[in-house]
Amino acid sequence: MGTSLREQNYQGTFTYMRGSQLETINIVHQYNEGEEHERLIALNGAAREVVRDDGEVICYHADKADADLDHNVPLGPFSAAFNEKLTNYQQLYRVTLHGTDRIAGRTAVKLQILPIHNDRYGYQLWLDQETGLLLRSHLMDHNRVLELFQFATIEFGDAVVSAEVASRLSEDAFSHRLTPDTAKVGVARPDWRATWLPDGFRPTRAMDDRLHFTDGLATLSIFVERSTGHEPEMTTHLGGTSVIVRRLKSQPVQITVVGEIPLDTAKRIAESVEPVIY
Amino acid sequence: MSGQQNESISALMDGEASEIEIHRLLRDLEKTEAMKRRFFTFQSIRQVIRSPSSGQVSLDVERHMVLFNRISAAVSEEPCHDLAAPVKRRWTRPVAGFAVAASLLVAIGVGVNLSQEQVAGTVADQQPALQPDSRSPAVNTRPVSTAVAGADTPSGLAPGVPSDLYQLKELDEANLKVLREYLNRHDRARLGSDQQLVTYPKPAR
Repeated sequence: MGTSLREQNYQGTFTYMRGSQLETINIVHQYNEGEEHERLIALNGAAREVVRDDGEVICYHADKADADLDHNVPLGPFSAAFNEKLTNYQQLYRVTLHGTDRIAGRTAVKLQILPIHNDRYGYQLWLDQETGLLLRSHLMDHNRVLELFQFATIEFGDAVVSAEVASRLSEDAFSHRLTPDTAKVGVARPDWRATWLPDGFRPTRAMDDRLHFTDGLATLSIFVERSTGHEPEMTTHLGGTSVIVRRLKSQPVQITVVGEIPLDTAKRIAESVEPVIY
Repeated sequence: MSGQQNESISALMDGEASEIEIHRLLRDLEKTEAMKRRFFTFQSIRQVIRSPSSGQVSLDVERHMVLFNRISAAVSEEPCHDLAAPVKRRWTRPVAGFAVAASLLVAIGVGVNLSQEQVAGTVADQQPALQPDSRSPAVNTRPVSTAVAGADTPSGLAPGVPSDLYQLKELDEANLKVLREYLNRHDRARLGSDQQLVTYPKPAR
């Protein structure tokens, strides 16, 4: 399957369900001269489009007055490159093939990815047999489906032209960048660290007040903020995404762990966060 | 549409429908256009009610019906190749249909589970069924434990999961905002999670 996910031209509609969030998204993906271009149009809610130009992701809002910059980003369950690394997960997950299925009119290869340890969730994936594109996925807690992603329609081909991947919202649409400033990515020395992480989780970003990790499938984030002492401590979850907010006993600091991991795992990570002494 | 069907839809939206009611509704949904239209209208209303301040408009009923029909058509042709026993084959066909509706039903409060019968077999070879599940986190964000910590409150994490779970709507607006901010910041971090790894103080083992 390799890099085919990125190197295909396709357009379609997918739904992504996570807890009470239900996104229905129209996607146009173009691979041209080594660069990816992608346009995601939210079919629900305020008119909004996300345009990915290779490494940069910009969100366009039709109405500046209603533009809530702190909105979610409907990109689906995984990072763009997740299936390029499927073969690397064998230390963490047991991957088995389960024949073929038919999703959105396409033949899909069905994979089961079970965690070797109980500190993370499992997955069921349906990958397009011809291209490797993820057509459907379930985030699984044993036999329970926590999150669901599925293409309803999908068409492949060379018909995607550049105009299709540019935002069609009017020129006065309000836009803001979703990708972080590359100058800041991964260069700041983190002031905090987790002394315990599940096996296989590696840092993808480490800034002074936030840490991001992935094991290739699941991702988790740790945020550290100054506490006023009156914020609520919360243990909650949205679909398969756990959120734990706690305050440190020794300092006026609030630790928040967010990730597609079980609550017990998030709790243990949160308990392990401590300042880094350089 | 019968009064019973209306009551069942209403119960479904309130998370109070029985498993039998859900199965009957999903079966009827496949059969009648009027039922589908009613269902998606209810769903749109529900979404607006749930986020009255957002000013957002849901996917309209017509488009929702088109989407539903396309998904249904695609999945109804899915083979049951993994199932050997005829009795299971009969059972699994409607289950596949329930899976189809999963992404559409979420907005009205129905969890997604595998049936017990499926659990008995190989999980990977089977389809999820929709079941009302009071434990399921798949529908609502439920703060398992929330407490405003005072000066004398010991820090550390809340104890285990209590039985009295709350729904997202029961969080006050300030906490909802905080929760959404963390989720969004986490989601946006995934935009670059396929990038190269970075240096980081190694965790102690």
